[in-house]
Amino acid sequence: MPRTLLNSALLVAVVFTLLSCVKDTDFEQADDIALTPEAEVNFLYFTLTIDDFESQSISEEELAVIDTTEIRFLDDEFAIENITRADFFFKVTNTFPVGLDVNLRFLSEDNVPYYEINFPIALSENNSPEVTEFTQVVSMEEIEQLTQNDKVAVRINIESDNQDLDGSLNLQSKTTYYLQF
Amino acid sequence: MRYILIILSLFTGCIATSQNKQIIYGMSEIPQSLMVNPGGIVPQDMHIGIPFLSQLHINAGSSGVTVYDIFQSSDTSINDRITDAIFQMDNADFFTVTQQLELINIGWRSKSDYYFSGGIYQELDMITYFPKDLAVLGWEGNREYLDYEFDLGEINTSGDLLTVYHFGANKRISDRLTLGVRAKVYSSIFNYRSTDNRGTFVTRLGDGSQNIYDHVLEDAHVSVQTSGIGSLIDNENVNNANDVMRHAFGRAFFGGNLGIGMDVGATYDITNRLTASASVLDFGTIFHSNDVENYRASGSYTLTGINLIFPPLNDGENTLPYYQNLEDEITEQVPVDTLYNSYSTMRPLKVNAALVYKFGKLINSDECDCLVRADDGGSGQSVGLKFYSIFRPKAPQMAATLFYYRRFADFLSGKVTYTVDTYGTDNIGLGLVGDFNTFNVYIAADNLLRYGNIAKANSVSLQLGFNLKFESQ
Repeated sequence: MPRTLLNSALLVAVVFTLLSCVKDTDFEQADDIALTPEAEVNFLYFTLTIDDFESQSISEEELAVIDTTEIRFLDDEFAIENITRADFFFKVTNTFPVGLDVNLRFLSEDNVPYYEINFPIALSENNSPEVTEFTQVVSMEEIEQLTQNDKVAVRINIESDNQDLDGSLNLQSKTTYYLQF
Repeated sequence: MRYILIILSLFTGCIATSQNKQIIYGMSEIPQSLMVNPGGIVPQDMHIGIPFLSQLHINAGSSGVTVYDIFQSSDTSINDRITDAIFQMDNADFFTVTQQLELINIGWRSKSDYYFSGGIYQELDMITYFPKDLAVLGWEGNREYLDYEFDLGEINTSGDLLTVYHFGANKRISDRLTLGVRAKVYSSIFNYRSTDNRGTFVTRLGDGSQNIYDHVLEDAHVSVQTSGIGSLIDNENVNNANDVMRHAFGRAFFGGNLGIGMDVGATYDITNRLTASASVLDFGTIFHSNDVENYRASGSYTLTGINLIFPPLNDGENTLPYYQNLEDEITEQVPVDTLYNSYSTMRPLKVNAALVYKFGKLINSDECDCLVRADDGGSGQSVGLKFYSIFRPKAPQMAATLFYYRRFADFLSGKVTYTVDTYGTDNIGLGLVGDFNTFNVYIAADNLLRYGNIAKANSVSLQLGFNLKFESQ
């Protein structure tokens, strides 16, 4: 077969490819692609009565309870790299006739507290449920302090040492995680 | 995720309606037309495909979005364009990638006038339906979608990489009828399939008795079947692309899972000018029993968060392992199982059918036309209608093609096609076949209107190949 024929055939074969082109596109924009989902996730919840405070009896001077749970994902590589902000929302319903204080200490694997949330709970009048809502925004500047921790210690203090109090406290919470990856 | 988006986008624009070879179908000058209709007309007495060059078929498509839709140069944000694309598409949209490379293809006419042909080709075929709900969940999160039930059943994807060994016979039974059949042995290199999924995920406001939300996974059943992949992942000696290739190569030659199938086809001259033809390709099954790993997650679960109970503790006593208990509870309610049971997959069945009207000057007529050759059975021009369908996991994908064929010279013929398919209604294709003595070359391409800017194409296909053809006289 003449060499020129083969060359011609190959030429035909590549013509289509050469005719095609990609225009008016900018693939460097790929660097700008950012997924920014916002995830609503339940956090902690519990209900306390005066019996809980009496049975734990952290000290004789105060009525307080404390409990701790791991939140293993919080210091995962994924969380460290992708959580840009976290909003903690708490809804507390109180029927104790006294105020209470909520303290959440986020602790690292070595039990070093890198982040803390504190807020007061309004007292109940006439044993009617008093609802306190509180939101703590962990901004982009603070988020590194949050994502060093893998557990949280929750402490509830009653602003009284009266063990004859009657009532209950119900706490519900959620976190809105703002992600970017 | 970012890279997945880029890869999916590039697939959509690089190169077609999945495995529809509307241009070479019925072009008897191309020996590979026997691969799309084993009962086609065979003018030559022998052909030898140039090894590795006798047919390359590349085909990728996206029914819902183009590269240009995402990566256009404009003032709008690429993230806004992706958001628009996600909401414009639905779960019937899909991404496909198909590629075929012939390693060997030969054919010869026997003394009893059978035309036998056989060979080996490698095929990659993947399809992924757009899981819109999961895309929305991943892209925007659940915050704005309280009470919305994200459908896990939208996960629908499958893929095959295999080598096909085939041998066929073609015979002109009568003046009007030509029949053909092709037997195939499939040697699967890898396969994955996740097509039978169901379940929903929804975040609802709780009823107040527990926590703020109820995150509800309802009747979930998500499974993935794989073969030829587990050993690749678990093999510590597989560290780079060469190792992967070596692994794949070993499975390509009957080292993996085998299957059998067949193609059948026929061509019937209704009149001297009117011809009907049809073929059914890849009616077959692959049996996956070697290197099988299947994964299955199923169950229902409602996540309410971590319920602290503030237990009375003695000094040094640890509190309850709430988080571990939660993980255990989820694992118990929605177990993820790894199974090793064999399974079988049907090959994606393809159906072709065409009706051709030949015109111009006919052989055996009193009129002379030097462009007419006796071996193509008739005239120098024809028009026709072709139908194509491929069975896919959700539903068959179909295409209809109008075409015009012309022989320009003894050594050159061409075909122009207009195809309406899942991807659109403006698909113009062109095929050219050259016969230079015994050397045969062909090229066929789709979606030519998009060649000016291929980024705007939902699909484009390219087929080309080189053969040697021989005739006895």
